[in-house]
Amino acid sequence: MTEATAVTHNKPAKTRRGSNSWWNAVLSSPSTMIGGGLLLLIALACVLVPWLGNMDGYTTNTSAMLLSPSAGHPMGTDNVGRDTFTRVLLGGKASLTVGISVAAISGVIGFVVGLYAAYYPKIGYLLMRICDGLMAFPAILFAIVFIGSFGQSTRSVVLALSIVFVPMVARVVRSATMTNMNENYVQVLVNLGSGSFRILWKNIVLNVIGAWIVEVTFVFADAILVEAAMSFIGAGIPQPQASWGNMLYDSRTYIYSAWWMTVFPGVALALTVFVINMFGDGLREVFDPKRRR
Amino acid sequence: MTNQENPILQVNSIYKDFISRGLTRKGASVFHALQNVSFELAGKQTYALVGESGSGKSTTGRIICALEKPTTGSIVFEGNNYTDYSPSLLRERIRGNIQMVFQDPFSALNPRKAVGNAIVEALEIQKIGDSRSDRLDMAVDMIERVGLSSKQIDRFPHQFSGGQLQRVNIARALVVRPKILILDESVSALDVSVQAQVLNLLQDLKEEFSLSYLFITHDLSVVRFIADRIGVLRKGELVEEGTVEQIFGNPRTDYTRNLLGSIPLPDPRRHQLMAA
Ligand SMILES: Nc1ncnc2c1ncn2[C@@H]1O[C@H](COP(=O)(O)OP(=O)(O)OP(=O)(O)O)[C@@H](O)[C@H]1O
Ligand SMILES: [Mg+2]
Repeated sequence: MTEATAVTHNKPAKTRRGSNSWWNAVLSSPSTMIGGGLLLLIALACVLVPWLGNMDGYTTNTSAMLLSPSAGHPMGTDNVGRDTFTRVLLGGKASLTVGISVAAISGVIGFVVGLYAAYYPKIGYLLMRICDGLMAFPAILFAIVFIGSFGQSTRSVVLALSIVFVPMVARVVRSATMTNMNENYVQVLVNLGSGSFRILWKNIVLNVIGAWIVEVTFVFADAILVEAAMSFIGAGIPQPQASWGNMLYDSRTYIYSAWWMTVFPGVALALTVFVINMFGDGLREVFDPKRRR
Repeated sequence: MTNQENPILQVNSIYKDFISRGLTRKGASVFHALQNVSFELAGKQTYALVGESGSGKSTTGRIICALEKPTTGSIVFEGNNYTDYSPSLLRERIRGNIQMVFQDPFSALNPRKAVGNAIVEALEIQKIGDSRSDRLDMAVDMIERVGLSSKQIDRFPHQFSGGQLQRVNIARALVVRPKILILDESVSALDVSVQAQVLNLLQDLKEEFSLSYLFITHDLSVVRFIADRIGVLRKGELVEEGTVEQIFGNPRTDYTRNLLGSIPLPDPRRHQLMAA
């Protein structure tokens, strides 16, 4: 009896230890730490610097057009005299907002769809054929449709991208769930009289969440890239709001005369996507059961 | 010794066909995993199902647990034929009364769940116990009954050996107080001293909880000490059936004699596994 009470008292310590093992794995993975740290740094810079510095990225100034980088304008100015540094930061904020929104929306919907598609094979078959259909179209096509009905806005971009990325998340979650469905522990739960809710949300989820987080990270990076491409052809975030894609679009005729208009948003985009992918690769290692076992 | 008047479980001529689809329509083939298998498990008795690998032992266990439906035939628990029960009716009347300890102890536990939580979860599903600490106490008691330490309750499956996991699985199955426990090769992987310990435990628990066992094994040496009746499966058919005395004393088929011959003999000169 004393044994039993001792264990009951140990309980909180124990749950902490359980989640700690994931945390320790994160701490011991350099690419997760560096990638995550840099990503946080980029996000904070894009949000805080323009706000704290009270920087203006919208007012045009014909007397300060196409100035090369200097102390006053560390990244120069663009063809209508706006400070490129400010617009790179504001563009980053827009890109990260799109990336995070798309990752959150397609992450949540894709997770639920994937889980139930695996649990109910007949519905799952239908859902997966719909996903195949959605994946056959490029995101830009959906963007044009949404712009037609809602107008050109960040919301249209996020919706269009989410539709394209839901099937990708759903696929990963479905296949991870199906692998788990074949494990005997699911049979044991059925045999104990468990319903589908407990089996899915209190058991299988624990084994699927790692693959899901990794996939969502890559969706985050991909969404930023595709948004840039959409903005570049004029179907993305509307002017005068800055985005890396539409800044690159603006710079295309000045690429030889004002290199800074191309290079800085381009480098910011490449760096951010690289950092997110590094973070995702790190997480993949952290969640790899073979490494943890 | 045998007690035929009140069978707790009746298996009535079950057939199980697995259809494997080939690439072409012609390639589809039917595999008869079980053919006309019938036996009865009397209350508080141990029925041993023996046979070579692939003879359909585990399939029989899964069908009795209603995890798979037989192609034809019926299964009756305490007078109720539950072969065609709906999932909710099964949950209400059958689940929890019949538990199975699976052959692969690792796959039968959620790799991301501490074993204590897995046992507590079994109690939650069966709505046994009033509070979490109440259930945890029961889990600790049962973990200690199967010879593990209460300190190990916080560990995850990969931190146990195969034999320890097998005992965790036995604990989880027993904690919900089933009436029938199906043990699929549960002691075969244990070394001899632990095997004896677990077999003794199973005998004690049988008395304590008035359990009936369906003991699935290929190892006849174990069966001799704990079974009341034996059924011999071969390629999905029950080729021989009877009391332990009948099967061991007077095996009627060569197949059974071969299985009996595979018992390692104490005579060092006849140490081979298969008698010639
Ligand atoms: N889902 C399935 N689909 C097709 N064939 C199956 C399936 N499950 C089992 N079988 C086949 O049925 C036969 C009996 O399998 P079962 O697992 O019951 O054997 P077993 O007697 O438990 O063997 P072992 O001692 O090796 O565990 C095997 O030949 C197996 O290949
Ligand atoms: Mg088997």
